Amino acid sequence: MGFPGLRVLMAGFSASGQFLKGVRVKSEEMVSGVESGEPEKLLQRRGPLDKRAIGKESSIQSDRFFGWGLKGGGLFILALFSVVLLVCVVTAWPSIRKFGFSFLWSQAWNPSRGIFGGLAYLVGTFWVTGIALLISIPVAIFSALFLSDYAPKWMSGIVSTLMEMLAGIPSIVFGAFGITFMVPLLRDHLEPFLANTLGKRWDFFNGDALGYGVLAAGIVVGFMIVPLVATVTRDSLLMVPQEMVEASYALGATKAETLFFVKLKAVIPGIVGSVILGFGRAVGETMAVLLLVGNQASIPQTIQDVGYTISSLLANTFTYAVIDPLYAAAEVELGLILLLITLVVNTLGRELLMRLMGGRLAGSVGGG
Amino acid sequence: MARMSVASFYAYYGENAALRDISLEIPDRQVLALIGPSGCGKTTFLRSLNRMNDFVKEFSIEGQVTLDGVDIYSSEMHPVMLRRRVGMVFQKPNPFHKSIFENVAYGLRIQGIRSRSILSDMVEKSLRAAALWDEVKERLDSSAFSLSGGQQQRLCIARALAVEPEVILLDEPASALDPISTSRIEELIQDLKTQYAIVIVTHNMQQAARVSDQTAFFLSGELVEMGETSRIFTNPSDVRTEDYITGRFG
Ligand SMILES: Nc1ncnc2c1ncn2[C@@H]1O[C@H](COP(=O)(O)OP(=O)(O)OP(=O)(O)O)[C@@H](O)[C@H]1O
Ligand SMILES: [Mg+2]
Repeated sequence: MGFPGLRVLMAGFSASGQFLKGVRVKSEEMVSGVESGEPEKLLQRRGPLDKRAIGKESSIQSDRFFGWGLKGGGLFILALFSVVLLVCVVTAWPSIRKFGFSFLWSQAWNPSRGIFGGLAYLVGTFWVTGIALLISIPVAIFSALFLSDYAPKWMSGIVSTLMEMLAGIPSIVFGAFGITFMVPLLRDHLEPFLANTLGKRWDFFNGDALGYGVLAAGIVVGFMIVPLVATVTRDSLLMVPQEMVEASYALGATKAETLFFVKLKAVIPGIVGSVILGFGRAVGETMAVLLLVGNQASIPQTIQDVGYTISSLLANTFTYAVIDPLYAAAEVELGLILLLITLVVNTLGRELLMRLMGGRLAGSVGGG
Repeated sequence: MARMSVASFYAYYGENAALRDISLEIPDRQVLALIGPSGCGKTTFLRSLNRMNDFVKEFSIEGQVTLDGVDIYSSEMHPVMLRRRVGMVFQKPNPFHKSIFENVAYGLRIQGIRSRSILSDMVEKSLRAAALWDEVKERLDSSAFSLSGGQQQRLCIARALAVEPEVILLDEPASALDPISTSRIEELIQDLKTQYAIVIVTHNMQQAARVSDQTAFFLSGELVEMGETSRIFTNPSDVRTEDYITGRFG
């Protein structure tokens, strides 16, 4: 396949380097031309207006070259995206052609007989992502509100630092934490509790307490997203103009009213943006999920059930799937579906933002 | 009769005294204009009347401000209750990230008014009073940020009027407005003073002369003099007041 994208990039860089050099030489010539030029020319050029014009000209030029350099960067992103997409589509093609749309609603996954359907993995991915978002969004928003408006300065400093550290912990560590802490907690306490309370009314909560499963994976992935959403939300909250906050107080609003009805409203774009990022992270999260979800290709019926997600499937099996073109194609197709879902969520998120802000993002804080 | 009264009032930002020994009465059903050069403490004074300076770090006060005889800095009056009674329009327009309608309805909603018809009536009434209704009645649901600066300022005036405060503090409400809106606002002030006590900060001497009954002249944190507007503008007792209103400094 080669790397056309890379070549474009290199060309872009060396070209912009030359442009910049050209600018320097040119402007040096101009300056020396003025100083050593003939008397008449000197006179013509000496006026302050002329000098300003010369400086302006060269800065306009370098502006243009700078623009080209930036375009090179943009082209690289475009090229990289196209290459990745193309490789995926080409690799997945045998599976796409053979199974068509039935790939999406068939649960049959039998590599030795060459039959593939991705439903169980898709559903498993949705379960884990859904639980993760459901847990992380409220926790993140409340901690952001606490950090920006309630915590004393020293405390918000400490907690913010801890949060940034949390965001940097490798996911395998979260997975290990899940196995040693969350799984026993869920198995011995939370899952039986759910089954005995909510489970009495809704079968949805009445599963076997195994510890491992979509709930364990969802909770831990949720923990992993909290710092992301909370940091963005806190930063947006801190950027809400003081005047807007004062306007609310001046109308006789309490602190809580101001926080919920004015500040939160102003940072919705930031929250939606960070939730989209969090969604991408949850959908693609591999190691922690692999350790916790149970890795069983069945469709979860209750919240306590085990499952399998696309990314953990690929991590577990892709090394030997790659030997069989159809097997590899089916797995890459799952990866493609993941990519498409992320794209759709991104687009919908943007659309939602536009709606929320009445078609205008002007003056909003922390737009995503 | 005085609605609010201020006695030996000092205001500090950290160590700096922004207001020194201010004593004055804010009469009911009249307009009090505060004039004085930039930085003399007009905004500080206004914000002290509804405790908006509580949000400024390092801010402290001495002296007394009363509303209907109750010390507003004492525990007898909660700041939230105070601000419902003493409304304010800020020097810079500061709408919320909400629709035009919701901006005006906000103060009513937080007072627990849920009825859509009452809200609509109040919003329309307030927008009309602020001379904005005709410009926005077709697009009450679009964002307040889609309005021009002057329209935003009138929206903020409407928002303050909607909650029907007893005292209204206006910090240069017309500085971003065109002459037509300005005169609408001035008419509005004349209407409002039949019911409310109004304090208005203005840099425009003609405006002060036109709309106010009383005028107070501030200079570097001190109250130089206060009196009937007609007297202040024709026969001031302090030479500094005369210099200021005749444009010799400031
Ligand atoms: N938040 C603040 N922190 C510290 N000092 C302040 C603050 N706000 C105002 N001051 C100071 O207090 C003094 C009075 O300011 P104030 O804003 O009350 O003036 P003003 O009369 O409203 O001026 P203008 O006509 O320009 O609005 C000024 O010297 C100003 O620098
Ligand atoms: Mg001011």
